Amino acid sequence: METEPAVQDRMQAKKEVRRIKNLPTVPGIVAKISRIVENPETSVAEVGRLIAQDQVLSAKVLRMANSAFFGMSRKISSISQALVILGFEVVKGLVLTSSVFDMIQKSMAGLWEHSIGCAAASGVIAAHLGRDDAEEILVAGLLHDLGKVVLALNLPEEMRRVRERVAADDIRFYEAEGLVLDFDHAEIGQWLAEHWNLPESLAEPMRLHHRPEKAVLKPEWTAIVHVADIIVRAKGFGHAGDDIVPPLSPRAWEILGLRKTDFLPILEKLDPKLASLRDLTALN
Amino acid sequence: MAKRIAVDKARPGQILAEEITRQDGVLLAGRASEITEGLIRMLGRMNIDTVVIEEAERRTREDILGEWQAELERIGRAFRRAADSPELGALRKTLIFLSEQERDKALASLELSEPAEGGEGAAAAGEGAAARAAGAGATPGPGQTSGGGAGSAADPRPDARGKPGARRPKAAGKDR
Ligand SMILES: [Fe+2]
Ligand SMILES: [Fe+2]
Repeated sequence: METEPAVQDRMQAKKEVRRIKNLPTVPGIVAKISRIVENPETSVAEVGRLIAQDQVLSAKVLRMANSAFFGMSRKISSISQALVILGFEVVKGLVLTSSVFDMIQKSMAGLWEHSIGCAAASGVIAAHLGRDDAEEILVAGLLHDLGKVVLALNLPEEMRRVRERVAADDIRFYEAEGLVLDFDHAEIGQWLAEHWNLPESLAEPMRLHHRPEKAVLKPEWTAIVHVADIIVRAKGFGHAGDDIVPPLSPRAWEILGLRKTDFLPILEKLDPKLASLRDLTALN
Repeated sequence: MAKRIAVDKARPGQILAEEITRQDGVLLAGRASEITEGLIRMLGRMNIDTVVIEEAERRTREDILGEWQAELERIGRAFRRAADSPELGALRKTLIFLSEQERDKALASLELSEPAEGGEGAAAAGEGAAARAAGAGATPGPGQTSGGGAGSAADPRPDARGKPGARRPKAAGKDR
């Protein structure tokens, strides 16, 4: 008697996987950028002009480029300047984030704040470790929970069941997904990344930020996003579906070579950033 | 909430409600950053004569202690399932240490702003000082609280550096 409904639930969930293949389409601007950069003749200025055509979007991108994320000493006043200073991949990540901003906002209260908090923490940890790809890792932090957005917007019924389970059993969102669905936001994130042709270096942290020990392409990126996710939750900045600090992967900790005493300098750098990032909570 | 004031009325510790940029676009101080002695001196040299600050909401000593208590409770709840991890234990202790620092800073600035009002205000400031002294007594120094945390602020690098540095961040950087 007990198993019957559970089995039905699972079958139902399997069907949902197929339904979810109707993933949101990649934002037009991102598709266009990807297309024109395939041409080796394309110049930075051309990419800049393409993005700048959409004034609302470029204003959002510039706000992020000038935010506490990057701590620029000089104001970035144009997209082409952003391309030169931050690099193409980072600007593309900001364009993508800006164009799905409304989706993230609509999906779940607090998820946008969680995402920018995780981005800032990823950047701070990477910089603390002396890495020179901190800006790119920051973008990975920004997008890590995009699967939750799709879950909320495309599968509201499943989302409701997961959230009920979180509340009823006092468990984490990720654990509840495991109990209620045949997939989780990390897998959805992976499907979305494939569907949108995102670079594997962004897809891997989306898929594995809760199991960072499985990462092979860029284990440090996924490990950093994993630790950053834990830190923003511990800070109580934003909301990611539950209020429990998730377990820390010993392997991720080891990969990064972090020590317990590293938390203090990391948090001291992160706190003022989080305070001023509250500005970005309304990106319009 | 935001208020434009003359630079000579600006005090260290006030929070900027608007960024300050030089005419050529160079950012001197970002929105939400704290005014420092150095910044005030620099603005003087650059002939910038007003800034926009966040008007401080007047918090009482009870507000400050109440908020700190609420933060401690939040931290306790957030870590309710993290008991068996020494790393997460260290993260929790560090958060508590920083919340105590924040509390003491808030109480100290309360004391600074209060005496000017005299009478009742001065009495409240006295109380604030007492609370702070008590707080300081109950609170071990940074070194004790976060188990070598203060030391780490001074030398977080030596160990942390060697390993990740050796990993060569860009080695796997062949993706698009
Ligand atoms: Fe997640
Ligand atoms: Fe997350």
